[in-house]
Amino acid sequence: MTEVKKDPVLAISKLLIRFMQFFSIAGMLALAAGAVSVLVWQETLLGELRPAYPDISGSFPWLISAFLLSMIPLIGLFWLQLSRLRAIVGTVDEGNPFARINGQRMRLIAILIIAQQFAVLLIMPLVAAIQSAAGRFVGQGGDELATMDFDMSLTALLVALLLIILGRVFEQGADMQDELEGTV
Amino acid sequence: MPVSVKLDELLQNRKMTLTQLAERVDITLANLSILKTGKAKAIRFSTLDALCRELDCQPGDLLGYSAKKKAKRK
Repeated sequence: MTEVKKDPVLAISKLLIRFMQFFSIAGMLALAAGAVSVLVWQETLLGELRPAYPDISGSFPWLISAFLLSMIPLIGLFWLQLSRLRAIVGTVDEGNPFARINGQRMRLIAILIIAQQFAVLLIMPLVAAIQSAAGRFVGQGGDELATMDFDMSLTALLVALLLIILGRVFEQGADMQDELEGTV
Repeated sequence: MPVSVKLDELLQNRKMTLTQLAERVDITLANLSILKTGKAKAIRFSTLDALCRELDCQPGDLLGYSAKKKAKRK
């Protein structure tokens, strides 16, 4: 095992990951609270939105609530990715990154990213329903349909692929380190 | 591992201890012990060279091969 001096980049990474994990949990709680609030104050919400969206449907708050709830598992998957990433950073900090477990962690992160992207696909019909429930948007530039950007990310899928390959590299690295440690 | 290191035998024949050998070949006692107990996964040519020099033997005298050991492991 090699000794690694305290690296500021690693320290910042660890801190950043912790912050992101904290905000993920806070975000999940906020989404849950938001989903409930939208339903509790649905009349007020519809009243506020009606001037801009004159054709807004009564199902809009329910759809928004469902959308907010559907985002919770997505953030949960992100939290899981962060926890595995934190474990990997921990092993780098200890000076022993070439461990088979890190290869498995990378593969798991990749699977979670892919799962997240497929979850986005499942949520897309809900987004379409929200757009249709909102109806026309009466803005300064004239009437137009409400739009909402929500799509799969090709970059995320590429990152997942890269992580799967990197996971294999780490597993081979672990085997090579084992061999080196057993060499007299 | 079907390859074995016959360090014990050679040391006995030469009436030498592992500690003495470690001092002569400049290899740690821990590493020689790994080699002696068959836990080593590989051996460097430099190690083989030092051992053969100090034990006055050929690499073939130091290493043995038994196919049965591999079969046993399976």
